[in-house]
Amino acid sequence: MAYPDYCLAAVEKPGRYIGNEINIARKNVEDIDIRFAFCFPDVYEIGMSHMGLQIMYALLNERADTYCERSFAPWTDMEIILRQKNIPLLALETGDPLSLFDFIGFTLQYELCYTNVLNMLDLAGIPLFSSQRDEKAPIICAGGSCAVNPEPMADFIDFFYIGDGEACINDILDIYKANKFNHGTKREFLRNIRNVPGIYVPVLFDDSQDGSSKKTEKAFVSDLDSSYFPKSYITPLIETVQDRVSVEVFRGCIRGCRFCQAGYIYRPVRERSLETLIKQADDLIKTTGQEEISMLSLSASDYIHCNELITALTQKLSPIHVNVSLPSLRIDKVSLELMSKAGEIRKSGLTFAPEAGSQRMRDIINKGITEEEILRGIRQAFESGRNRIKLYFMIGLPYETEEDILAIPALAERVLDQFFSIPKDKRPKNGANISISVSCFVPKPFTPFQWVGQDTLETFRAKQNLIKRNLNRKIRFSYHDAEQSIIEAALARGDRKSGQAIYNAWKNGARFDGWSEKFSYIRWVESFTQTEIDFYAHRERTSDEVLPWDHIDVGVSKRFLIKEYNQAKSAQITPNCRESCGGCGIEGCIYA
Amino acid sequence: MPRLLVLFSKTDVMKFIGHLDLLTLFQRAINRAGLPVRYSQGFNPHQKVGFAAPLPLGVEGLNEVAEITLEKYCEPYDAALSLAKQMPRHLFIKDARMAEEYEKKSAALACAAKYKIRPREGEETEVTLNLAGGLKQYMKEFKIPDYTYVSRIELLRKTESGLVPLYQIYKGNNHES
Ligand code: SF4
Repeated sequence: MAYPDYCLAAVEKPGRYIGNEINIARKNVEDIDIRFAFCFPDVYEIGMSHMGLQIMYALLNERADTYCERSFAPWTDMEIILRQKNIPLLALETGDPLSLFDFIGFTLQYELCYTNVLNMLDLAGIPLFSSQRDEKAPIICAGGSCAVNPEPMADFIDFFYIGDGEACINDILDIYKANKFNHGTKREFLRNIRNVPGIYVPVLFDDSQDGSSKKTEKAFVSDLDSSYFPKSYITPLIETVQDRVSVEVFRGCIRGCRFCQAGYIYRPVRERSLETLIKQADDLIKTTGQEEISMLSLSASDYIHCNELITALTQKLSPIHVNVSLPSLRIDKVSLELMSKAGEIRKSGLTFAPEAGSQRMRDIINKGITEEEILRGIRQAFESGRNRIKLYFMIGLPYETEEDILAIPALAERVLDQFFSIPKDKRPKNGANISISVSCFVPKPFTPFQWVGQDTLETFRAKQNLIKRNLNRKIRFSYHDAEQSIIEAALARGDRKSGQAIYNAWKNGARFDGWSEKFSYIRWVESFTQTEIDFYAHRERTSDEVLPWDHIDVGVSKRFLIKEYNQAKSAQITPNCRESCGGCGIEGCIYA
Repeated sequence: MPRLLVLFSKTDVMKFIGHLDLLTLFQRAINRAGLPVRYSQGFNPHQKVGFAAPLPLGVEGLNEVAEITLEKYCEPYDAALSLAKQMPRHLFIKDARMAEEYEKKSAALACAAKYKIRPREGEETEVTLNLAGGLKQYMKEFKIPDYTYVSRIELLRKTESGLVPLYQIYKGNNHES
């Protein structure tokens, strides 16, 4: 079965729903024991740009007894038709309804996709609440970075998988198969997996002993270099958001920016060797035929062999017209040269993320970069012929004052001054094109700022206006929707009770909340209550409060987070992990 | 430069892959097959690959023509075979041949096409229409709904003896449209 032609002919992008891509797994359903639907709760083009999907898909399909297929959130035009014609949500490979699967696994990459999870289940004809699902219903599981605080989605999900996907997924499937063979129940299966690293089963969690019941430790790949990595990726037939293949240079980050969740939950740093990366890149280029490859990490310049990697890849790949792209580089002379080498010269734009305008603020968030370094990097960028510079900032950070806000337009202005201080014949002819993009700070679990009360809507708006009024007219200004950031914060630090609000929002029509044109703040205020939004988003928590995610252990100690929060208070920097270990408590760290 | 003409069909779900995506699909298939494709010069080199005529989204094509400029001659049959292995289901490589030197680009030659249109089950017509908006006009004139099954059977070019299939060689007869 597949979606009928009349359905596909009526939607804007039918290519999202047809599957049939290059390198997909094709198996005979009769020959397999476990059907797994990997679901990405956003549109196809976003989901297919996600490296985790590619790895998990290939890993699951390595198993002869398992067939992993995919499904994505249908865009609103498709949803209307599916509901009208009573067509269930299908998996792309076989075109079978999701309700026939053993597992439906969601990856939760951002909080604003939660309503899409509910919508996908509903379109599949599966009851949303785990308490309403019987033995016949698929087992619904969820992983991804948002799973570190599973509580808001706990009413809907049978089990959460926290940590590195490659680590324990095979154990789970083995246990499932054994349980199925022995005619065990779903409850028995859940009981059997609850001690596997990374597994959290909400229905089996007993919170009566407040925090004393066993914590869920994250699943963890200690040796990334030898961990599973596919030889090929699915190559989409339509253009996706990141239309390139990517390899992961290292996982984790040595920096410890205090607002950044990824910097804490993926600790410690685990690197891939040069040889492995070159081999992986080579395989992917050969099997996909794609013409761009991206080197992923949280901070590429921190890879010790960064220079050699780029040199080797460029030598190998540029003769066959493959570009190497390097997101997340620190901008300095070395990296500018690397970028030129990688053929990025033809891209005239560069992005910088000072995150804050004043040095005091950058010290508070532990963004270990000085204004001098920023300006020097930008000057070198101008001198190397690039004229489009985009600067990323955040507002609403803890201990922020009006001066810190005003420092944002001031820094942008000094960037412009840099341009004009370069002799005319040495700077780009077509003038400087500078823009700043300002987002709203969202406090996240497992960061030193997890206790911080988020700014209110009014404060965010006032700060945005303050920047706008003080910004040089020659500099372009864009900012993120504060309303979305507030709901993101409420969901990120929500608890078991938040599930009801998510359900209400979905009932009231919330879909694709991450898309500003689909998002409605009013709908969310009505689905929560203003009091609840204040409680989850705007309230400052005390460090002795029991947090909804305290029963999850990502390896970084709470004591360390408290210490970091105190350091922030006095604008004290914590050196990066390679310089000196801050004692975060993680196990298996090469720098400790 | 040698040019490879590839005859292919694009049916079933593949009719929902648009023109630009089809181009990317061909480029990636060419890379995987390792064909010695020629790249354009300049800042942003790209493969010299094109199609005789874009196919509207949702319309099947039974005899479409792609044109690939090569760095060096290669045996058309081998090229077709290696390309065929790299194609998704419902995109069949049917044949390939080298373009004669005197032959114009197929995009310049294609001027009309034969279509099969099925407005209702059991009701089917075959019409020959020009490529410059002919199909759109026809659908409008006869009030045929958008999601009607339409299949492009054959691309045509003009010769002294009238319209003939684009992919066929007409030796010594290079009359253009
Ligand atoms: S153990 Fe030390 S060096 Fe390792 S991640 Fe934690 S703070 Fe950094």
